[in-house]
Amino acid sequence: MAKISRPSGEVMQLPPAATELDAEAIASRLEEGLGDGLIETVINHGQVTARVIPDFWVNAARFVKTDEQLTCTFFSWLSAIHWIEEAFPEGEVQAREDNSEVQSELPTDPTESDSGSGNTSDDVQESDANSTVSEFAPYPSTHVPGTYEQPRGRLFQLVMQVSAPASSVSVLLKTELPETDARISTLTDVFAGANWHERECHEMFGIVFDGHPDLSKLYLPEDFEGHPLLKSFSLGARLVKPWPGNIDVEEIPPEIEARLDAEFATGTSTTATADDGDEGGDSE
Amino acid sequence: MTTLGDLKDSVRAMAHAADARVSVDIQAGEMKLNIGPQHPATHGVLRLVVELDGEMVKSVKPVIGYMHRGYEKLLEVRSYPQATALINRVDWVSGFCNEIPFILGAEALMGIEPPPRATYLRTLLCELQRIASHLVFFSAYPLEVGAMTPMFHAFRERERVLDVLESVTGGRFHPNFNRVGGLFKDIPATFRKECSEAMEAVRKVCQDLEDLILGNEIFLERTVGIGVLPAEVALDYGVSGPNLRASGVAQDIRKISPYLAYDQVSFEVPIGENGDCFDRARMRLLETIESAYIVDQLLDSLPSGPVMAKVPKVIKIPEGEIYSKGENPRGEMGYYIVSRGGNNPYRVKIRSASFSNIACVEYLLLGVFVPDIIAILGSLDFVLGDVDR
Repeated sequence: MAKISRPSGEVMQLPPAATELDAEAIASRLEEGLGDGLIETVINHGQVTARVIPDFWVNAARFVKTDEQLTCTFFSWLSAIHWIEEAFPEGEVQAREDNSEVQSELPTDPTESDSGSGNTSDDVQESDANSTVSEFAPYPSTHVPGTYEQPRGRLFQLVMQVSAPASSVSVLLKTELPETDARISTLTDVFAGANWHERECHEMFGIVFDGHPDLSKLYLPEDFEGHPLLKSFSLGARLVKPWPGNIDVEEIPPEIEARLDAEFATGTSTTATADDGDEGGDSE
Repeated sequence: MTTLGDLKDSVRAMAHAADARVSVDIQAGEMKLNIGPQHPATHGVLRLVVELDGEMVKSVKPVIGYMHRGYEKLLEVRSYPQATALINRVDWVSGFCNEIPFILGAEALMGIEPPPRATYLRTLLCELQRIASHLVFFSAYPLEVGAMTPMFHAFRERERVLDVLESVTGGRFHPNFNRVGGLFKDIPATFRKECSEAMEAVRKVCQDLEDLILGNEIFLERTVGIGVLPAEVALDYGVSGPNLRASGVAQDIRKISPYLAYDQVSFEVPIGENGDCFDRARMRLLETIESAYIVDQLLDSLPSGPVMAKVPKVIKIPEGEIYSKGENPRGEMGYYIVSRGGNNPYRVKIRSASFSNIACVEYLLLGVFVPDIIAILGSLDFVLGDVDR
């Protein structure tokens, strides 16, 4: 490394280095520390996710921050997911009907379709009319402790990611809020960085963060109505002209498909110009 | 006859009198100052509403959103191959680095392993992009604190690096080169030669920049001890990348949870001591030099073979959730991808580095003088597209 020295100055105090924990150790530490507030821990692609009850949200954040083993003092991000029955926004579903097996798995609720299909008169959703009302539970919990009652039906899932500085230790915290009256305590007392993320979350989803210093709009104009990241909020461009949606899933002509298959089988590609040929010439 | 010494004495006396007058007579009232959204030092459309007490900043309220394009909403109606065209434009100074975490996340959810050559090439192109991005910093930042010459040096070599990127990807700013499963195509035959020549040029320009800027007395006056960001505050706000490392935290995702081929190359992560503007600038110069070394190593060890894995004709991602992150030139860039099957994601949360980096100006700008606002903002190296998404 090049030597670029700096002029005089004070050397600053560093936070203590985190102990390296693997995913199982993080999960068991969370189970130990969160106690009754914890619903479950999941290890998914090496990432530990802890689902906590909403009342315990702030305490959970404080725990992962101050715990001497986890030391997750780096606030990465906070956001939400809006879980509804349909896996795809309206207008998208119709176009994908032939190609996607997944979209029909979750039953749709005809009472909830007022916002989208009411505006799109030409976009008739026949599948909606035939489906039956059912209990929609995207995140069923296996063991709910105490008196906590899990929200049913459409819900918001609040997600927060924190990690330990200069360490691979990181935790995803999640909690579920009902779609109506989504409200939770603010994290701004625990992490200063949560301020803007909660403002974004408020304007995009309408989730209210109690005790937040200033929940004004972050991105959108002050007089903007609606919460754009709600699944019921249709993209304006799609209302005017629905996206055909099947351009990418067009059938590949059989002769091209046969050629592609042959290429994949032999591991060669006609489009690639590998530089193996000129390797000898370059090295000298 | 008045001598030079007399003249100096009288000037000193006048200056002293002026000092006394300032401290006694002038009542500096409070004042609200609006900086931006169109201001050259805000790198785009950041607006700051600053309350001043004389020359001193009493409070600051950053106003963002002028560049908000709603990418998180748009990504919900895009298929995965289409998504890279959008996420290229999140941070337009480092388009290629933006693609990587998203594509890696999609590949992890699908269980696809890209061929080693693709992984190495991705790493290489990432580092080229990092060099290009840091060279933009070294043209913009000195300009903001009053030095014009470095811009010409830095931009000349940045153009050269971009030429190399263009020869591979076809795009200077928005490569859109990654595919789920690998890369669009292989590198051209002239790549090795051009790339190593460009790296030589980068090393030379880094030396020039060090001589021009980091030893320059005016630059030191403007930056040393200005805008000190303590490590605890930086972590609290989620500041990442060179800005965090300047504050002494050795957090580099390339090291702490290696992705791509970063565990196959040796490089050092420069760490600062003071967390001031000078350190933040110094980190970027050192990182540029390290990146050039990484590129050299990757050029020597580039494996042969295909650049694309066998993937389905239609990219459908099974149900699942993943948070995939990478080290952008500006810090931690991550995507939280939620899939419920099908061609497009159910929800994508874009964690961009500049958003958190700029949030801490509320802390950084308190109690500084007006000219330092520009010096501090510039040292954070934010891109408004990355802030607003």
